[in-house]
Amino acid sequence: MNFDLLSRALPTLLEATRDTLTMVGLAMLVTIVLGLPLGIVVATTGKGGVLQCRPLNWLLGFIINIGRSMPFIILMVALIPFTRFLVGGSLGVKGAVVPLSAAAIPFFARLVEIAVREVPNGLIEAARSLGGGRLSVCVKVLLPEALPAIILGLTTTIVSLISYSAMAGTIGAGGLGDVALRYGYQQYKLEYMFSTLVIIVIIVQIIQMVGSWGANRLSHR
Amino acid sequence: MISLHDLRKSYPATASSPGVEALRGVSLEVAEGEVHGIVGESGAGKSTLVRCVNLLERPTSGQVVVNGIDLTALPESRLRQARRNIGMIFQHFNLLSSRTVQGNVELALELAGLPRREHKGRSLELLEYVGLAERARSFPSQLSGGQKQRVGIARALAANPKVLLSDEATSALDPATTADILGLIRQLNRQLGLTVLLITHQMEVVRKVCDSVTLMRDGLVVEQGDLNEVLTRPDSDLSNGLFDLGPQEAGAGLALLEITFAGGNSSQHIISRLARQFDLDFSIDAAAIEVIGGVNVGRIRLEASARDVAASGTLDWLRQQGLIVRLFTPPDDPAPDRSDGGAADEGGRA
Ligand SMILES: Nc1ncnc2c1ncn2[C@@H]1O[C@H](COP(=O)(O)OP(=O)(O)OP(=O)(O)O)[C@@H](O)[C@H]1O
Ligand SMILES: [Mg+2]
Repeated sequence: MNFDLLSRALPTLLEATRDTLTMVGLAMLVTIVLGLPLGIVVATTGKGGVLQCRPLNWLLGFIINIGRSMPFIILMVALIPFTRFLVGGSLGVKGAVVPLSAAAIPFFARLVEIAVREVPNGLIEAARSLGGGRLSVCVKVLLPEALPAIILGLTTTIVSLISYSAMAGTIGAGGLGDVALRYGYQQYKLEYMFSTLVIIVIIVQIIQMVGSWGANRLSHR
Repeated sequence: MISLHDLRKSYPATASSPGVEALRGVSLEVAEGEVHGIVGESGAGKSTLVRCVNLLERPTSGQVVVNGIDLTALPESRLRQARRNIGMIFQHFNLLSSRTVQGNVELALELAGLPRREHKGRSLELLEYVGLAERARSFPSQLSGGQKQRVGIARALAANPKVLLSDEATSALDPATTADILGLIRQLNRQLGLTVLLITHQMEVVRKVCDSVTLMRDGLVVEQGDLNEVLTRPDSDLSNGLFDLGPQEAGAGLALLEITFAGGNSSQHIISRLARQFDLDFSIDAAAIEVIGGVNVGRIRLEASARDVAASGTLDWLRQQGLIVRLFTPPDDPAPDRSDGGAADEGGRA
């Protein structure tokens, strides 16, 4: 592989990287906004939880399980009409955000649930003994105590989002997956295949590093 | 200050566990400014009982009145208000790992709804009081167990409670640190007039800090009373547990004289008066004495020649002083005093 080929591929690769990061970034925001509260609610509405409400818990758990059991590629296709309705006409980067979020929200919510359940019951007890209400227990105790584990869960979710985003490339979402497929697989241009791989590996490494560092910084256990 | 009336708590049977009646009609009165201990075997229902006092656990039936308010009748929002009058400390401290020492105390101020600008001053004042002001910015993980419990105490005091509940607050600490924390609890009780209800499995803790005590078994109260009054009950589980002198073994020809001091003046110089009055030689075999309210309370076991003790009328004299006396004599040397109390029979075991 020579340098000339690579430099010719560069604009395409840069654009694809930008698209991937945009897709993943937007999906991540949606996932945090919807998945975090969902995870907390699922963790606390169970038996003996601070917000105990078992029918709601059952219902949300059921919905999450449906989302989790759907292979991404099928979810993506199944959601096309819904996506069109939300973002209008074409799919593209914005269109990819919908199935990406749909896949990541239940995944992240489960990880948040695990993190919140790990918070020792004694802390909830202490806050209640101090006159704390249910909501303040969630906001002042559960969330901050679970935060390091939630950050790690978010990191894992983002890494999954990156791999999903590559699949989203196949339905015209663009991004690194699209480039690898189109140039690398169909046209057998190895330099594209190889470069997209390297770029994805680097992105994943950086995200994992930042996530682990952040979780460590926040954890004082 | 704390008045529990016929509390019952049953946990219904579930798939994984049979139903449990953790409390089966417990009544308890703790007067203002008193330190009351609850002892009992594991599973007796002690934790369930204190958790019912601030209604962290809602009793199945019965009444909880704290500071004149019937908590069992309050709606949730008023109950939260009332809980601020009841501080609680825990065996495992239950501090937030995500907050500094000061942050943990401030949590209590936030939950109590104190204006934000007062948080810093008040939390530092509380930390100063428990002797941890210089660790304000540390995280709990950087503290020793005793220091963590001090933070727990500062947090519990944040809303100026009238009552402090303590569930095995010293059980995770070594003896020296336990003594430290008990000293602090006693200080809170004296200086702030705090009423304290504490659970422990260490009789020593009861002896050191409690004014009164309850013994629980299987969800029921089996013994209750002021410490020095409990002491006067011969052979009760509580008095034996509290002032345990160990097994008695009188040597040949020797008698053991067990004297119980239950407060009052009677214990003044009793040993030297006894020795002078009867010209006897005593040695101290065992003693468990605690100073409660400025007077010696406890038991002492003396050893002396069985013949001399029998001949001298020592027992009568001691009883005239208002002391509770039991005599144990070795089997080969029957006590002439046998008719005087059932306890002498126990000498046969020696
Ligand atoms: N949430 C619960 N669900 C079912 N049973 C419970 C629950 N909490 C306590 N129990 C049962 O109630 C009984 C009393 O428990 P409790 O914790 O009050 O005992 P304890 O005297 O504090 O014991 P320990 O000294 O071991 O702390 C036990 O038999 C226990 O198994
Ligand atoms: Mg207990």
